[in-house]
Amino acid sequence: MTDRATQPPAPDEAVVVQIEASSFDAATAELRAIAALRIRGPRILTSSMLSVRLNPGDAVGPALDRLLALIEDRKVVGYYLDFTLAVLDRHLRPVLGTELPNRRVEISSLYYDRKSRLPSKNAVDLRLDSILRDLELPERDSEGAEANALAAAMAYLRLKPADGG
Amino acid sequence: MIDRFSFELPPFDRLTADERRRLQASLDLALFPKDHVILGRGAALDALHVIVKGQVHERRGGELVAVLGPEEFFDLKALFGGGQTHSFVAAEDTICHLVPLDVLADLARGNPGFGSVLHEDFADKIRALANATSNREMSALMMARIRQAYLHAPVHVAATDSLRDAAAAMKREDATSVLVRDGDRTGLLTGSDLRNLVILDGRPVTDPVGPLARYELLTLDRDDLLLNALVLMTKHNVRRIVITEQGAIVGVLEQIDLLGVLSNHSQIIALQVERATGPDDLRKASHDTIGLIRSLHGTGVRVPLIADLVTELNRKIFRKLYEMLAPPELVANSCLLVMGSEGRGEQLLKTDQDNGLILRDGFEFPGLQELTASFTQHLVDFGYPLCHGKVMVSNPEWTRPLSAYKDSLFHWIHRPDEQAQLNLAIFYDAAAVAGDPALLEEARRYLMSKLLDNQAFFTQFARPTLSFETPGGGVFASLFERRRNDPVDIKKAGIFPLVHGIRALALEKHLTESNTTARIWALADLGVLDRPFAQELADAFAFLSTLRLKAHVDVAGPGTQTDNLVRPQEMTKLDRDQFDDCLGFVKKFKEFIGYHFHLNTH
Repeated sequence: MTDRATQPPAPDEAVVVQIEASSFDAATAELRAIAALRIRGPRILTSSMLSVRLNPGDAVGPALDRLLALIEDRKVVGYYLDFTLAVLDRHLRPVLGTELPNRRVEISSLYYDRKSRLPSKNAVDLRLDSILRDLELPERDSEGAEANALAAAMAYLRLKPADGG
Repeated sequence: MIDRFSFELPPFDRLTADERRRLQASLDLALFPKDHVILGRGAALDALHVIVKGQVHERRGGELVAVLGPEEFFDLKALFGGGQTHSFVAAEDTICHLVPLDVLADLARGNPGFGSVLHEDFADKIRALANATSNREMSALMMARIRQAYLHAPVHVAATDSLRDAAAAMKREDATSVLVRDGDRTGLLTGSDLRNLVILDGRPVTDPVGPLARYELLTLDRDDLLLNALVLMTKHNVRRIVITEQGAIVGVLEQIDLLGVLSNHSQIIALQVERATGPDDLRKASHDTIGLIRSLHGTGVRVPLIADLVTELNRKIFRKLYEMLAPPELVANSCLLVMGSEGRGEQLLKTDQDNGLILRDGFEFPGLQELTASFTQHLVDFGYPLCHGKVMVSNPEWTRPLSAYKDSLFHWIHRPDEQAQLNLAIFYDAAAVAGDPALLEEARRYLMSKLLDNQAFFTQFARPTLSFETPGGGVFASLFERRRNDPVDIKKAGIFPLVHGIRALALEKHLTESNTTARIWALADLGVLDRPFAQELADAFAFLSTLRLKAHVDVAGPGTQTDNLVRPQEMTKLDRDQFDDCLGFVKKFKEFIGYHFHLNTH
């Protein structure tokens, strides 16, 4: 753990990060799009949404700078966050010297925790669309990074513990 | 997608493509879980909430005012600077779009069509509220005058000045319009006129403004009703009106400032009283003052101002009732008095009635006893409890000719027992509310002429100032931390010593003022109190009165007389510190009174 991580994060704030990539292999996938949204209290700050598309050959640096500026020391939230951060860390490690040290919150684990508290015969369905439907949230109208970030942000607000953790 | 704003929703359908993009870009999204308090009473609202999904309850006090669903929005009042008196609570899991208020205000300014629909929605809402009986105090604001609104100072340019000069003047003065002087005529040129003339019509910016300004101005006097300004603006679809006073232009009223005022003020009860045709109407008006007090207090209006307003209303009610019951010849030959706190104009809650009637010497009126009994009974019916000391017109002791009043005064001064002292104190605070005020003036003149510089009398009169303990203040409070948590009788510990001590000083100096704060400043003018001390006393008095009202409003609602206990441990830290300071000043003041009237040596 670095010093940065031990600093108290902004209270009740989080940043949702979703990406699009050329494949699902985190070791080789190329970044195609990044979307990030800040969450403050019950609000999703769509007005300051970061949304960048990257064509093959585009420099990734400037987009990552903007992403880091948006994240600062807030906890990072996402659906399938391991993949997202694995791809991002490939680019960040040469710059930061480490992977992103922020606290991480995986939407599907939040959802799994809630569901597994209820007795049920069925396995928990962790697909994003199923989570949205179950939480009575609006459906996504695409599978792009922006739509996923917004969906993840709404799911997070529904699922997060009352104390903001 | 969920973050797309639905622009089919009026009045947002009036926005141009550019404006829609601007609104869309500024939009945030909020998800409120069921039972989440979206906006508490008194919370600052920074955005218009447009409901996308779910349901929101608008509450006022304990009462459900409205149920809002998708495509409805709240709260326009915030946009126009009104105090937030309602709270909004999510009744289901709810999703809202948030339009920042500054963006909304900008759009309303830039797009008159959108702005006026927004304003009409707001005006409709106000009218609807005014119609609801539970919100009668809202209708009071419909009586507000233009004078109460912020006026933009007029920015003048000469007819020979160029369009560029006009634009420069607007920029320099931060104005949205200029007045054009052309000989005897005055015209108006607005920012949007400039834009249309230069950008759309392609006029050179060097053209003189004289021929281009509009000279058929919409004007209203500063004393006109704000409501008329709103009607005029809506009718002519303009957003500013030129305001005159005695024919001369004194400023420009902007629609946004007008709505700011309309969302706050009130005077309708006064009108209700004026138009009352029977005691029933007055009873209603009297009961409405309770809601008014609560609402004014809730919107953060300072207590001395509330007291002024309530005093004015109560006196109108008394006067109107007296004039309803008494035939004109009785009104002309008598003077109806209110005394005690009502006379001092410090009445907030309906405490015991203290009133009396002075009759002109030699004037006889058969049936007076029935009439005064009926007056007292009506007041009880209106919610003013009977006076324990029987200081009421129905008591013949307090309904008597001027000469009999003089006899009583003489007796009170020269044979000062406890009851006499009390009567004198009550009478000294009297104010005339109906009939011939000269009768009260004559009685008061007589009182002053009989007050000798008799030290023993004043010592006796001032003594009750020290009757009750005033706790706390300074070092001892912190030494006895536990005692600090005991409830304090704010009337005995703070308000009464201040009021009575000041009254004794005022009587000694033959002051004619009856209000405690007015007396404090008159005593400062005479050099009896030094100014910083007078300021401390006036502030302490205002603060203690506020705490007392708060205690009543919180415990039982205004209008019911409960105890005067306040509990320091339930106050905020800030209030508690100020309370301690106030009690400290009261102690200091009591020492001053003790010294001034030699109370410790007798």
